[in-house]
Amino acid sequence: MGSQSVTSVVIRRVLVITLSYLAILSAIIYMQIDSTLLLLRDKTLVQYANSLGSYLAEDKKGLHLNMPPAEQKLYDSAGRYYQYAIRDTKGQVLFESPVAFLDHYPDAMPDETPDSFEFVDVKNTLFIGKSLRYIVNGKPYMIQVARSKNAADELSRLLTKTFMHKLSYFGLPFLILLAGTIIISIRQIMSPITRAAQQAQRITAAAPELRFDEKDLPTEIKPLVQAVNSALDRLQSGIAAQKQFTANAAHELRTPLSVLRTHLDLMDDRQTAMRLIDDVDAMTRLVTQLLDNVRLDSSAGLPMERMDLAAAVRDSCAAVWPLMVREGRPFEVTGISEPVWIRGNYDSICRSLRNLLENALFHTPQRSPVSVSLENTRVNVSDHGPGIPQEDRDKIFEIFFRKNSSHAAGAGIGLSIVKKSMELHGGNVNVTIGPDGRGSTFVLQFPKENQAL
Amino acid sequence: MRLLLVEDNVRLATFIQEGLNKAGLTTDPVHTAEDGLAVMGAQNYDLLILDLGLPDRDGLTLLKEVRDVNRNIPILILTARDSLDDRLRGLDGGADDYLLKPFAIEELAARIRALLRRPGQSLGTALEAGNVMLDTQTRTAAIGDKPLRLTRREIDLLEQLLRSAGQVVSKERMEERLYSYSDQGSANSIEVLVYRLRQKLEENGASVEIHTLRGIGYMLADAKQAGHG
Repeated sequence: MGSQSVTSVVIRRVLVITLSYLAILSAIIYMQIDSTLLLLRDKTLVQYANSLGSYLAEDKKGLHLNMPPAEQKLYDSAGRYYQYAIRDTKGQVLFESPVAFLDHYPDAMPDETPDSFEFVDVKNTLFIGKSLRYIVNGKPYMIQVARSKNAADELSRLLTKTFMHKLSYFGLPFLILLAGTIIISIRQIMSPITRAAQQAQRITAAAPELRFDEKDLPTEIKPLVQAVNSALDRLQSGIAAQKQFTANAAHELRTPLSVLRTHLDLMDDRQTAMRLIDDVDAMTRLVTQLLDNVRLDSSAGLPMERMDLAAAVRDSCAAVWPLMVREGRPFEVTGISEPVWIRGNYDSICRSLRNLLENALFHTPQRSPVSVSLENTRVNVSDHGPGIPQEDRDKIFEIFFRKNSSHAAGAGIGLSIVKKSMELHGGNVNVTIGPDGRGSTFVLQFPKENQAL
Repeated sequence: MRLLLVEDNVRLATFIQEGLNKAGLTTDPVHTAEDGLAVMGAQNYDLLILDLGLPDRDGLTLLKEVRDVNRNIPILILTARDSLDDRLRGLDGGADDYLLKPFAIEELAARIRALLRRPGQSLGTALEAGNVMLDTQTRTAAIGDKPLRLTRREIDLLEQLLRSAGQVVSKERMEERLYSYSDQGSANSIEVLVYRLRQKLEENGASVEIHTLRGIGYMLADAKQAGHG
């Protein structure tokens, strides 16, 4: 199951459950109507029988049935709907409706409670009836009333239809209102959670001090949010500790190197001193790279801002130029006269460029030229060194990669720092053969869309 | 000329003092912020070299306190923190320059010389690089023992280059310094000036030359040679 909104799941579930129960309820009501009609039918028959009985009167001439004309009509429709028979104790028919299927009527006199009977006529119509004992002047008579089931069904169908019609008339707006109320109240219940989710989006490495609002949260969620908040507290102090560590490590490592460096500056044996100074410089570079690596790995991220790539190239080149001059290297920088605006981290880009330029210094012969060119959002750093074999061109960006372990300068961190920094900038770094077919060109490509016009 | 060095590492302070003394810059080392502030109250210094990683006080706080006491003294900070943020904070906090540890004493001395050029600061007179010398008081230059005839502008240019010998001076900064108030140098006048001075240095056998890096700036350094010089 993919990820879903809890709100929509809850709303869907509640709606489905509510509607199902409403449907079940409707079905129950429907069936109740049916059974009620059945009951009603029985009662009606008994009532009719009773009223027939009440029309019986005995005088000197004998027994009479004084039925009012309105009621006679009920039994007139060729017996299709209602029919009756009134019999004496011997079963002799005394009165009957114009049509009465007497063959199908039971002969037995019922006792206190009316008897029910059913029969099917020649046309296959089902009839139901009631036999009732009725006393007139102390003499019992049997009154039998029957009626085709169709008549009852007709009424039942009509009733049900009316009921369903009314239900749809009132029911649909009712259902919509019900669904709306359910949706709104669930949304309301879920709103603190939705709010927490929105807050979570704002909590980034750039704003580690933000916390979730613990107010108004449901008790089920509150412990979770509190736990996350305290985890964020620990994370923030972790980030701070990491920054502090980097600063401290820089201090602890650079100060002894400074002691060594200045001491060497004062040594009389210049030849030895120069060799040792090179070693100190290499160690210094290693320290810087290790710290750069820690910085790029830190969860604090790399703050980006609008910056001039041309200025970063200019500063980085200016910083290494004295070394280029000292080594008698022709050094050329092109394409930096106009600003190139990108979104990036100035410091980190300068470090990357420094790494590439120092690599050129350390890995190519003295006096061989180095050039830097800026084209749009692309920086090329070219040297005239031995070049990098095809099979190593990806591997050199892996941390601690070195072609042969005896190689003098660098521990293989520099290029991995460049790669990491470029990835954080949404760009990439790769190496190709130099422009005139020898040496290497390192290309830093910043994304075009990164360009802030 | 007296410099104050506040650096808690005693050995480092000693080496810096010794190195700067050799370069003609008399330096008094102290090892705590307290001592630094006390000494500054008692004596006038021409420049303060301040380590930001002092044990008894946050470097930036100390920087602010020093600035409260003495607004004009040039301050060069030494720090082990190399991020751009740290650098900018130091400069915004009132420092004039910034040097990352570890450093060469030569570099420190060059930075100090450049800072001492600030207006209103008295300064020792002789500047030199290789066999090129400039007396900033008499405004005369020499290569070895031979006097070098230069125009007033060329002397100004040479002074700027000598103060930052071995370091890059951007073209913008050079223009600012040379054509500061009255006259506006035309776009290529610096280039022409540099070209002429370079010729004169070369013709007269200077051991240093003016290097140019297009789009970046100028630098006075040893004439092209391999290896460390």
